[in-house]
Amino acid sequence: MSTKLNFTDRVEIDENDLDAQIIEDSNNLGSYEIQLSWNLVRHDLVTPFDIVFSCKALGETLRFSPSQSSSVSASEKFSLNNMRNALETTVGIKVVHRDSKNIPVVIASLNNLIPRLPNRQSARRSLLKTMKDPALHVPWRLMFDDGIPVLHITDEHDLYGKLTDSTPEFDSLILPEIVRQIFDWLVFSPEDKDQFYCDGWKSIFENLGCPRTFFDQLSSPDDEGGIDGMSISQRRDVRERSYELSDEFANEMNLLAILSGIEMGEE
Amino acid sequence: MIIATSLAVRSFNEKGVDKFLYLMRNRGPDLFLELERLTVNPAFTQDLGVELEWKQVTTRLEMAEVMWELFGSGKSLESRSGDPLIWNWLSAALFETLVRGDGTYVQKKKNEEIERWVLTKSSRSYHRHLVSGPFFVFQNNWPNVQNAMCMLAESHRPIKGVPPVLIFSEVHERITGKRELAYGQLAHLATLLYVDPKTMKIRDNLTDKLGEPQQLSTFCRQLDLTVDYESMTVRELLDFLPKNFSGLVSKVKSENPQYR
Repeated sequence: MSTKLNFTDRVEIDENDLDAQIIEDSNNLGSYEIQLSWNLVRHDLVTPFDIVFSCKALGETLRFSPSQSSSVSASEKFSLNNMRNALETTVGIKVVHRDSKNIPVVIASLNNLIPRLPNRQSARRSLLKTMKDPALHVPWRLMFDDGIPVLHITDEHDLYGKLTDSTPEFDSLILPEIVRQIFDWLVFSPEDKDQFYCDGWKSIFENLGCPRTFFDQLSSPDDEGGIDGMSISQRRDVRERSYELSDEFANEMNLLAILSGIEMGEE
Repeated sequence: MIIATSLAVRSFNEKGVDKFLYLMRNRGPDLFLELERLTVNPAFTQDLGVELEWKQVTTRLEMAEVMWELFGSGKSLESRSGDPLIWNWLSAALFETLVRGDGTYVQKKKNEEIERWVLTKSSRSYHRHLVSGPFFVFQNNWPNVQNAMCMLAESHRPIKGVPPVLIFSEVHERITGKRELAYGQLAHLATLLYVDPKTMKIRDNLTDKLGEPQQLSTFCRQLDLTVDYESMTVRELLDFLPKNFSGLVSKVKSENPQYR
């Protein structure tokens, strides 16, 4: 299991230190710019340093060096014209200091900040992104894109709208299995995971009765071999726990009661 | 219809993309004809009033150069270079030309990944798109495009009967698939490591060797949080690579005295 370890005393920049807002490019209809404002005054950063920003969406990235790259506090606008999915972008900031060996060490960073979008004052960060997927041959599939759980729902035969808008039982039917798969991913997947989503889902599992220490024990340096060293019976225990949590989730959300209350039409 | 000289560029609407996706997925016997009709049908497309000067392309580099004339810096569609509706239309309009009207090849490749031809918003495989992919490599590395040849060069060993523009190799996948490697100094480093400077083709026998492209991708992923390797120069990167790259690094330095 991947855990974020900080061996280099890197400062973890708070979301309140960086404001990001996507705005429509007034000179170019349908194109976007991003306004980035940062204030790192309260952090004791080693000087000299340079600040770099990155904007990332699925399969694309832009890197910006602001003109005031050595300023702890400033604001600057960048074009997102070349991004295919500008409104889907997340923002990262790195503060970089060249050490005595001239290696550009990241001394402070923040990743995956979701910018405010045009006409919205705040963007709520969902722990489960949903995506219309016209290339998907099954009704839905949970995928882990760039370390983030994303629910892909097919749009073959225009099914996306029918499933999400016109089928109230759809969420109730799939959510417990999604919860189970995310638990499996947290425990078993060796891929790098986004810390925000990891922490968020661990909190949900904690609320469902899975002690936080469960995850800490799995990633403990004292644990011989970590996940790779788990015995078959330990793996079976984890699997059983994933089913228990799925059950508990359905119970907490009253999903079966909701389902039983749905009038199943004969159309 | 096989395009000979120029093409009046249009854009799909959302329904046009859906129809294109449907046709490419099913690949019926009249696919070429159906695509030709679809790409001029006003119910599914919109004229952009722009001409594409076309020449038959063989390599990914040539594809990028042709598209640059449409979407590149200062060109007529520059501000829409990220628009999947246009790229999908181009893909549909050029499909028969690119596969050289070879219906047998098209059927043989019926089960290939749909993202090679169709861009969908949810796709994680934008970089594999055969029409737009080379352009984005070109754009991300302009004006130093020669430094990005690892993503545009053809393989040392061609596949008989298949033009290189239709081949997306392991090296292309590994480098374009990790965003941080696909531009700037990292792309230049990968080109030095994996492209033979004499032939300008991908070096032979890279797979399963020390320093192969997957190892470069893994190495960079391990450093993502701690070192801003994207800001390092090629010389710094060559000296920074771990020992399993030493064979390739020595080769690069012997080929390029300026990096010794």
